[in-house]
Amino acid sequence: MQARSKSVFGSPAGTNRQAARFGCTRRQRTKLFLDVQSRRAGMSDSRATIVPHRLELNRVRQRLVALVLPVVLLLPGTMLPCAAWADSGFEMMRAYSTYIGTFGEFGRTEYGGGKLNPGTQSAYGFRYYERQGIITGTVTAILLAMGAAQEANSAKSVESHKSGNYVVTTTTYHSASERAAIMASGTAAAGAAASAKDQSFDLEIFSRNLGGTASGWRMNSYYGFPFWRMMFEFGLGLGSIDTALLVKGQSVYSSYAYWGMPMRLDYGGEFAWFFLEADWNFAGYGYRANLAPTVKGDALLLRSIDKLPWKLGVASSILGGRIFGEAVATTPGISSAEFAIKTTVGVRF
Amino acid sequence: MLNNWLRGLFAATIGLTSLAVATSAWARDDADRATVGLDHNVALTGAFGFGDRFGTPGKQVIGRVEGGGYWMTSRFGNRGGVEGGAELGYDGLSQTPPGHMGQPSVLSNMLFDLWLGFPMTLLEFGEGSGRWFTTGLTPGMGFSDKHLYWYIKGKMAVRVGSSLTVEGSWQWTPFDASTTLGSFDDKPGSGLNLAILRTSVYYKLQSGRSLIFTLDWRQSNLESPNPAASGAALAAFADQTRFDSNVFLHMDKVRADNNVRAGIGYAW
Repeated sequence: MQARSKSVFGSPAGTNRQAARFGCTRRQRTKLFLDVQSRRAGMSDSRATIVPHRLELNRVRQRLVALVLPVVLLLPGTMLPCAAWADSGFEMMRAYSTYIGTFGEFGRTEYGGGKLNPGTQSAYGFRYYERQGIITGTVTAILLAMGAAQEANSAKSVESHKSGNYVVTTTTYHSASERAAIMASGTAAAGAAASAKDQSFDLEIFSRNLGGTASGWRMNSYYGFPFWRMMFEFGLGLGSIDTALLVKGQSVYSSYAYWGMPMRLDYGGEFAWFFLEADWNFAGYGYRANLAPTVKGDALLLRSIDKLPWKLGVASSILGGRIFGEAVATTPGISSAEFAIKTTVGVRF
Repeated sequence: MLNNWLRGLFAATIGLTSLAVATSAWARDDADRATVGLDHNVALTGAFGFGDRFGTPGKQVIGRVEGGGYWMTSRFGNRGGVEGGAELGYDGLSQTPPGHMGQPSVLSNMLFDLWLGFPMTLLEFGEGSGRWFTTGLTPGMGFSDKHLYWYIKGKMAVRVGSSLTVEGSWQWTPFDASTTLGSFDDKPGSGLNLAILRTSVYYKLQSGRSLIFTLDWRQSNLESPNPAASGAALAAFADQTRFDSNVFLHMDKVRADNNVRAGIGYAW
């Protein structure tokens, strides 16, 4: 087993084709690689057996917390007299809301190695969140105004013809009235984008200063289209997150990039907010999206980016004065029994 | 570093001031739209900088324009808006870090910085033109000759007498929120851990405009995780609950900026 693993997994040049030839999936290959590497690292037998045991315990504990915490947060809102403190899911979705705080995210996430899912995340950081705010609209308006200015002042047409030994090029620009019309149209579109009511913005900065396994940032900006007690949202997402895990004693370093189109379908319940989210990630395409695991020093470097990671989630929040608390539980699949929970505590403005 | 003790002070100040509600949400007028000091929307400043970067001394000459305004009021009476600015100038400080770390700047001696922020107030005393105290918080993003970055800025302004306003601000970009331009191909990438402490004094003229005197203190580190040095983390790994046993402990780190900028300007 070890000799075979060395030839397949010990090489940085291992490919999917090789994995297929040896009859295992990429995920299985990574798990095997981790087994081999932990033995190579000279781990004692006790560590090699104890660490996986602890990992399993952590996963069980984590799933329990993920199940119990939302229920605990929902209970005060639904059953106790302090219901007034809870934000209704519908209000969370449709009302002006801005907060800054710290967050912790634990469990299965798309940035911690993608489908390879090498281990359990515990990420901490700072979070800025707004609904019906100004950031998405302002940035969109700036882009629209810049585009209108560019269009108004660029060439309307360029024609060339040969005349004797010369090539004559005629460039026609927009007239003053055409420029005014383009700018008026661009300004109106920018104004509409800036003043759109249902817009939101979510920025997370994963800070190693607070501990945890992740470092980097991710933002999603949305425009929303409400109907009934639901809303469909889509927009622009960007991010770059590095994670460092210890899996079976092996240091695993995962690099994640994100630029794409986040999409969400929300339902605002009485005291909770349910959503189906899919973040279409254009960074998941191309040859750099999924690279074979490589070794650098004592660490295993992974790059696995899902094209369309999706998740189901439930969010509930508590507001006491200006102190805001929110818990979100998500699962990447109904049958997977894998969860991530994210808790945010912050100040609301 | 500058960050270490100011971070705690910053968090405590934000936490305490944000809990109070001192101003009615319905008492706003046009005088409350100022994001520069207590009374202004636009400022133009020229600054001279001196100090060192990567241990080598040098000088800077910089022009800066900044502005913004508040136009939204939350149900707590806090206001939100947009601010932005640009810096352009000569950067005579060293651009080349020692050792194997990549050069952050893509330019040699030209400096530029563009930023866009979204300020909000936390606590204010006085209303309209009678406002004499404000604290605020600004998350924002920027793009300079050295890095793409997100920042968070806390600020406090106090009116002293009838013609002076003193403003202090602290701006921080953690390493995690910075990607240096010279290191896009390196994995893991490097970033700047940057803190700026600024004190500004506004002297109000009879026209209602102000002269500004500013003093900035900047400190930054150039940092990059080093997975190759994670062997020590493996050796230290004994308890799965210790979240500090990861490669982020093993940072290649070098002091970059440690300099001061003194400026004079005019505010509208």
